[in-house]
Amino acid sequence: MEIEINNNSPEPVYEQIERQIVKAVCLQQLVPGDSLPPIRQLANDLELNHNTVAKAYKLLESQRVIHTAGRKGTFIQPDALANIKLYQQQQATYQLKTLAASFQSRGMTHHEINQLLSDCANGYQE
Amino acid sequence: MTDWIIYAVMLLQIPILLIFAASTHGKIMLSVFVNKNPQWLADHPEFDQPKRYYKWMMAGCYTIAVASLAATIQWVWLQPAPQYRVALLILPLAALMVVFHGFAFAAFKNIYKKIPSKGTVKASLGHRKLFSYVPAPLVWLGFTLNAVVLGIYVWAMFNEVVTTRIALSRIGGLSVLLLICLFMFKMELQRKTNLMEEIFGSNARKLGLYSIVGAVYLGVAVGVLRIAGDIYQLKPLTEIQVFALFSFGLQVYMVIFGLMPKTRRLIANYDKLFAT
Repeated sequence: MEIEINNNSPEPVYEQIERQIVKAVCLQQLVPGDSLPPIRQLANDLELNHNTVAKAYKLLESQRVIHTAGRKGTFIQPDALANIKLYQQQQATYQLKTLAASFQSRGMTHHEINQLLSDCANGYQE
Repeated sequence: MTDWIIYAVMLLQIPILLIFAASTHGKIMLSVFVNKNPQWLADHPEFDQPKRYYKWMMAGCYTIAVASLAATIQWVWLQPAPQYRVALLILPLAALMVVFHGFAFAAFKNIYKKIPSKGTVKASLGHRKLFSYVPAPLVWLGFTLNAVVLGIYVWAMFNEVVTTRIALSRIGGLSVLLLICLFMFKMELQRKTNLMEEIFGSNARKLGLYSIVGAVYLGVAVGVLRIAGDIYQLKPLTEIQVFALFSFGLQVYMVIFGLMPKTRRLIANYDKLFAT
């Protein structure tokens, strides 16, 4: 399984790494127990500073997608998929709340906000 | 007869190791660095660091070669000094290591780091482990045998079978070799897939790791010879013969490696890029 980073992308490199590993877990290209390369190996291969890869790994660890067992290495957590969905739900909830609050501050009613979000969700599905 | 063979090895190491091997490996290393982004290099012909650094490295190597040749003529023929023969074999190689590693460090900082990465870079998420490439028992046996050699010298030192000075020099030398081997294992596993794969194919990393395992067993072989000489006063090979054998083996390897078609192709590409 390979990952690819784009140095010219506006998305920070560590987020690209995190996003692709999360996607690989969701697609079951990486399953619980699979080991990830050491930070230095991945940093060398991607021609990055090792702190950048370390940041990506830290982010994944905070989301409980991976866990580092010291010298034994870094592994995909047993419940990584569930933790990803939980984290994504938390992120989505937070972003929607922030959005709703900003619409409210502009004078929109609860009903209008609900209708707008529902229309957007239906439009996206189509 | 043996003396002439040793002198031949001593003289041949000047053109083979100090000139040919240094030049080949210097160009290969620079090829690896510039392969980071060949398009950027093509767009920036003013970036001539690779050419300059290579010239400085070779200037250092020629200096060592001339000094080595002069010293060899002086101490072998004009004013024979047998006590310097080991130094004549080892010191030029040691000096070459210093020059080459200094060049590698400076080139990495001022060439590799200065060249921007390509737009997209791919990497495998596979975890490269030592025992995926070389059998674990082979590695463990090598280190165990070295530990036995070290243990024998510690025993010999405390039981006054050998002097403390000799024991410590043997223990120190072998320990340094083992530490270097451990470090090289890590480096070889973690290095990016590079032009060595173009020369040796997908087995390049495996070959590199097996070479390091070879160095571990070389430590055992030298340790056994040292024990035979220091403790049992048996000297199947004199010290100078051991070092001459080592130099000879290295020269043979460097010639074979340097003349391999894929190596020549890599060198030709480099010469085309940085033609003087």
